[in-house]
Amino acid sequence: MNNLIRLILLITFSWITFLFMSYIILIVIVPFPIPSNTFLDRVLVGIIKVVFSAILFLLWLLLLLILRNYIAIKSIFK
Amino acid sequence: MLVIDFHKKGSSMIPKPAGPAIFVGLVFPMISLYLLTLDLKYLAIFLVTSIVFIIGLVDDLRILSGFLKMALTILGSIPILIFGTYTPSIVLPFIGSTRLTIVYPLMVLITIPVVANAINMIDVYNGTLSGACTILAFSQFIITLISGNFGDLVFPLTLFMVSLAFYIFNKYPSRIFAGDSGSLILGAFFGASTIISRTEIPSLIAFLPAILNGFYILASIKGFVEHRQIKERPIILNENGLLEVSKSRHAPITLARLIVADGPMSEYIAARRILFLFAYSSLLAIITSLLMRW
Repeated sequence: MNNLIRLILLITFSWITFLFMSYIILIVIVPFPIPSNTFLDRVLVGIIKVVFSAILFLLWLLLLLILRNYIAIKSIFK
Repeated sequence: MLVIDFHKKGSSMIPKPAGPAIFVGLVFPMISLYLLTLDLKYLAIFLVTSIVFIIGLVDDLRILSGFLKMALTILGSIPILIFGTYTPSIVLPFIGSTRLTIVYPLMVLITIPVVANAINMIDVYNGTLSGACTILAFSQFIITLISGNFGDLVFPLTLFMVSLAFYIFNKYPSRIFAGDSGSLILGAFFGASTIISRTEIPSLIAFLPAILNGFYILASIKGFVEHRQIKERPIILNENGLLEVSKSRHAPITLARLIVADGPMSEYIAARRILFLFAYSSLLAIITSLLMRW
């Protein structure tokens, strides 16, 4: 398999996983209910939502980095 | 000024920057439309392009550090935030619009610098920058058409016409290079157009090869480093004038390096392959846009 095909597969994978990640962030994490309407609860839940979204985004980037390294091992450093 | 075209035998000298010509092409329609309609979105995109152009021009004349360039391009986001020419919601396929009242302005703040610098990083071979921008603008035009925001078609159309005109001179073998002033404003205009025309998700999908390239460069060199400071080049020119991948483990693993890893190839073929990836991601973006209308 040549690298152009591998990169096309990588972009397809990025597309599917990006949409999936967007659904998790925008449907599950962002509308997560606040336990009570106090200022402290709102701030804490807001921070937790941002942290969870950031972790998910970083995991997505890490996955893409692992795939890049796999492609590099199969082609550049074989 | 004249610079060496590294991927050619004989060290041919190429003029740069084309930034001022690209700038005039992008801002003239915007300022004309603002004067005719007094609609703030045209003024906002004019100011975004102008601010980023000044940063790019300073970088062309006096080299800025990678981090400073990234930090300064954040200023480009400010006109969109000040004039409020954004809608704080994102449209996703199948579920429609989701409100992001607090987070969206923060996303605006990072969109312009990220997109402008990612486009700057894709300027690796003759014609890749101008070709990629032409493809991205065309896909954004189709996406905006599908979404029904006919009033916003002028943004991708302007970018398409300017990128296409630039491509004629920038394609292999290049007769002019964009310079940072040219590449940054093309990216900033695309980012601003994405926000104003509300095509965030599909435009981001079309932009995936640039995101992957930018992220892979940052991951390899571990930070915002000016490309002139990268010690080991990922691509080398062999005695036949063909591009060959560097086997060094210290050279950054970029998209350009992965493309050439299939074997020695001409710069023309390598550039065509990168543009093919943009065409493919643009097709995925159009499919996503069609799913959003479902």
